[in-house]
Amino acid sequence: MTSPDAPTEHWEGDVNEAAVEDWKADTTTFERIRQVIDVTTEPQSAKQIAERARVSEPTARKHLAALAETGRVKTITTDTGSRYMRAPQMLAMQRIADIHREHTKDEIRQAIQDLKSERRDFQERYDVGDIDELTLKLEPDDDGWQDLTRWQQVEQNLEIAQAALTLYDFDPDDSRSAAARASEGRTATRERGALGDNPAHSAA
Amino acid sequence: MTEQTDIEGNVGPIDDVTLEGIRSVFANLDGLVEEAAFDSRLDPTKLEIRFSDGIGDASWCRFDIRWFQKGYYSFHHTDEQGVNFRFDYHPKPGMPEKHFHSPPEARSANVEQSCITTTEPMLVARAIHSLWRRAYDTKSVELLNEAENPP
Repeated sequence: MTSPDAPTEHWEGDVNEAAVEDWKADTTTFERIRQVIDVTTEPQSAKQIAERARVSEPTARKHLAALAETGRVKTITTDTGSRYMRAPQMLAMQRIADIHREHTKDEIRQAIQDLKSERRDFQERYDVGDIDELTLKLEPDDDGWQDLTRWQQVEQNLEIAQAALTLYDFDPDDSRSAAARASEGRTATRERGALGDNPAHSAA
Repeated sequence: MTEQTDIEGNVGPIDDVTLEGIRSVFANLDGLVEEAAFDSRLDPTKLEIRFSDGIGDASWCRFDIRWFQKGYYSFHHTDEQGVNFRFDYHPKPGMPEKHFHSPPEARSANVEQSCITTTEPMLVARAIHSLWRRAYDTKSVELLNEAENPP
């Protein structure tokens, strides 16, 4: 790490290549595979993942298998071998956990209402039913692209907010009663969704 | 919501999972990072990285970062002195897709080719941090878009 008084400690050569060297120095092969797969939204071969993570192909295969085991990686079997991508459900859980910690049930309901009305505004303004119809209508230098991006965001937010609402009281182990019994005599804890105290958060 | 961007083309929704990774990169890389958080978890539009100091006379600065699901991005710097610049990658008809909006205004017209050639999120974040750090240490924004060091 550089300090404010050490202006000479910058990279040598090209900043893009230096970033690769620093990344390799700061991480294990497993961490690099995890970081690469976490940002992979289209299925890729182990060879492609290995190249991106700067590890050997056998190492990539080993770590991808381990990550698939935990549900973080989705494996797709094709005629030409396995393809890998991040598991969407696994990663949405992080955001749902944050929402449960930061928002009440009513706030989530309100957000869903607002998002739905924003969707209606787009449908009326462009006279289309869904995003695909709008995509077909837009030309490369149209003004509507920002609206399209926003609409995609609205749909994603809606999916997450609805899942967060559904899972809000999810507690098959009745863990909160157990926690309440364990801390008997203390004052009631603030309202919080079922996943809101997920300790996995700090590992993000 | 979409202010400060000039995106023309289908870039997809915000990729908050990738932004989580970028948040860790900045938080672990620089002791000057004071806060790194989304503007909202119900409706995330950007990741905000706040630094407790800025380039030259600025007493603080902030990167507003957007990463989109199709791999496009925008890293927008602003500071206490009103110095704005932006490393972007997205469709922009007639201009390079990877481009740099120079300080102090980060205007939409007159962009230059960005010196960031990598597209891997963790590497883009590291490279932009290095460029920022050099500007901070030398108290000058002149070489922000210069990949070589020494230039």
